[in-house]
Amino acid sequence: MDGISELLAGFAVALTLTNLGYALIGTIVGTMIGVLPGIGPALTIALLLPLTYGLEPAGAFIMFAGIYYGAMYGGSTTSILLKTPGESGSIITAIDGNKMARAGRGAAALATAAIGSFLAGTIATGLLAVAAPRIVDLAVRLGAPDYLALMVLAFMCVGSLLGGSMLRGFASLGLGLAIGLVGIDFQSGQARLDFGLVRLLDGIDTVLLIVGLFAIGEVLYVAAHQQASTFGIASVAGQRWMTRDDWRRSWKPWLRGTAIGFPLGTIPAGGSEVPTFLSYSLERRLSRRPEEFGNGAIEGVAGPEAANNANAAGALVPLLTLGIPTSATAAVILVAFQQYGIQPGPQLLDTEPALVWGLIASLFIGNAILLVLNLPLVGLWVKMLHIPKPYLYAGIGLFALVGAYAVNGSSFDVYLLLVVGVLGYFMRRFGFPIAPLIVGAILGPLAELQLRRALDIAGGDLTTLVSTPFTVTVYSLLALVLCVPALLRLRTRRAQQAAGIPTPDRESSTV
Amino acid sequence: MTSPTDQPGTAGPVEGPTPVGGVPPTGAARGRIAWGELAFGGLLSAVAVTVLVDAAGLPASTSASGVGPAFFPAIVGVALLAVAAALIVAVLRGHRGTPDEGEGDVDPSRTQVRPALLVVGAVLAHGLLLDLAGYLVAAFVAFWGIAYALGARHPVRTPVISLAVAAVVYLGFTYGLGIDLPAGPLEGIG
Repeated sequence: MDGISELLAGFAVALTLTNLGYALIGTIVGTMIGVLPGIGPALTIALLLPLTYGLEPAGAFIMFAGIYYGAMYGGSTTSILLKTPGESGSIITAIDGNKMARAGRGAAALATAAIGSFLAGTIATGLLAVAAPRIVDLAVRLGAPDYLALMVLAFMCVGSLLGGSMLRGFASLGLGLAIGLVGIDFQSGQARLDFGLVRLLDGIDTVLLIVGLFAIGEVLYVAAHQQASTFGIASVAGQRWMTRDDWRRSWKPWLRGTAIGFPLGTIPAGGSEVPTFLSYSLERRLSRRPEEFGNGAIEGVAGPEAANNANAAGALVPLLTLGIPTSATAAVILVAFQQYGIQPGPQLLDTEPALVWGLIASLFIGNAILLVLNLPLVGLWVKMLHIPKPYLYAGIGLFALVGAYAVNGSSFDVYLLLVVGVLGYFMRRFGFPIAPLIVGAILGPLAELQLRRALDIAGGDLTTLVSTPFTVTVYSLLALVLCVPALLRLRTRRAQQAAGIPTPDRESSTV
Repeated sequence: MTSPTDQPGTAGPVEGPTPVGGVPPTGAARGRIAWGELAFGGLLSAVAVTVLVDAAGLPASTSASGVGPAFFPAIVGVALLAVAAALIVAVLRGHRGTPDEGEGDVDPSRTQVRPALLVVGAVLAHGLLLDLAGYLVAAFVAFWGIAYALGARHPVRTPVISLAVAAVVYLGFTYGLGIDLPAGPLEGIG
């Protein structure tokens, strides 16, 4: 498996007229929904899942690829023009991007974000294609204790790295793990936490969970705390895209952002927050005009945007090869796979090569489509933001409702959605990050499976969990990981304070 | 509701329409106990206890390892209980969460209860009407309710837009995507 021939076969799948159509539709609706304030890639994919219920897996995943990157582009557009980063990866972009937009350079900010995202996405997807088969070669040798170790690592990283407070991250993770317990135990057939409700025997649907926490939680949050029914949007009409000077200042940050974003995506480093902040502080350190940062430095948009997209592609590596999601968005994609009865993992590349390589090829194609579409159509996306806020959120709410209902066609799910939405509201209100909950709910059952498999094989001997060199390495790494981010965070915070930018204490808006 | 306060060490100037987050709380706000957050800690403890009680009621394992359906829930329950306790202690010591301000134009220090309850009501009504009156009516009511709650209160324009959106979603899903939504009284007409 060298990845190249498989990738070419993937292109053969993705480049049929029908599948190109799906990619095109995916990128357009992905951008359209992603551009809405407060809606990040994870929610975009969750909201748009119903659109693919009628499709074959291959077509559906090709559409997802488009939606995924489309949502990322959309998010950066909103950050720049509206300063409402829908997700943690765009928080940094919002700072200098919005300053540029206010200074009449919004078009240049959008262009450097779009081109940087394209470049980073393309390079990172290429790295994904090269890395995936190699990691699978390693992954097939891993046993249940090794997987469990990886999942524990993912839990700890997601819990401690997302949002500003470790305690709140772990609280969110714990809630997610508890929610993941609901339903029939896969091994013994015992019902757990079903409270006598038949509807809960299948567990709480993850799409419902995501849509409720993010969309309904968001609508409630805006209803309870909004100050005005309109947005203040920066205009880009009649502005020039990038000047020669902008290009000169952008290309290095694009490449450096890619170099930071991809590797951090492949390890469970807690999503796109850390890489984008690292890229930002690196660019400021390297700049000859660091005082411009925070006041509209184009490098401060170019670098983090590239890091964000490279990170998104990097996150697909552990997802596709190990079946381990490391961010909310990756968790949603895992759910999308599960909806088709496919469990990502080391066997996936062997059992569903057309699907995986078709997906990877579609990432390239979606990226290219976006570059072509996004800049000329930016006027259209801006129009989306002129929809009056009440109608916008009513639409988001309605779409969330239909998404929750359509899974099972049961009004019970609507009430469950409301409960989850209220929980989402209070999590936001009290500064609990939402992503750890989602990762916990989705990865928890998988971790339990590996834990019990490992213990069954070893006859209940707990030392089996640290019996291989791999597990020892991972748990040692974990100890390290729990210390290093604290230092990183301290540095980021210091850097931020120096620049006078808000601390991203939450990733709740994150979607 | 509590007044939002920054966690120690995270304060930074917050930009946007209302610079509330970075401003130190007023004396009154600082002195007050964060009941809302304490309640959340209580909720977490309750969830943890529920998980543990449920686990205790599960039958013993029949597998070779002696690890049954209660093993993992017990771990989760104990961990969650520990986190909840730590959280309650932290809140009592004044470490409060930072409300989400990423969306712009929101001020978490002021809570408008009525619009939020209206949204809750609209979603509840949606669930009830789905079974009683079909999707179109349910969607119309939900959209109108949420839009009204968020400030679209025109007596004619708002309901007309709501009806139009509901119809587009209904037709789009049933005919465009082939997903069945309950027709209600319209059954047999379309």
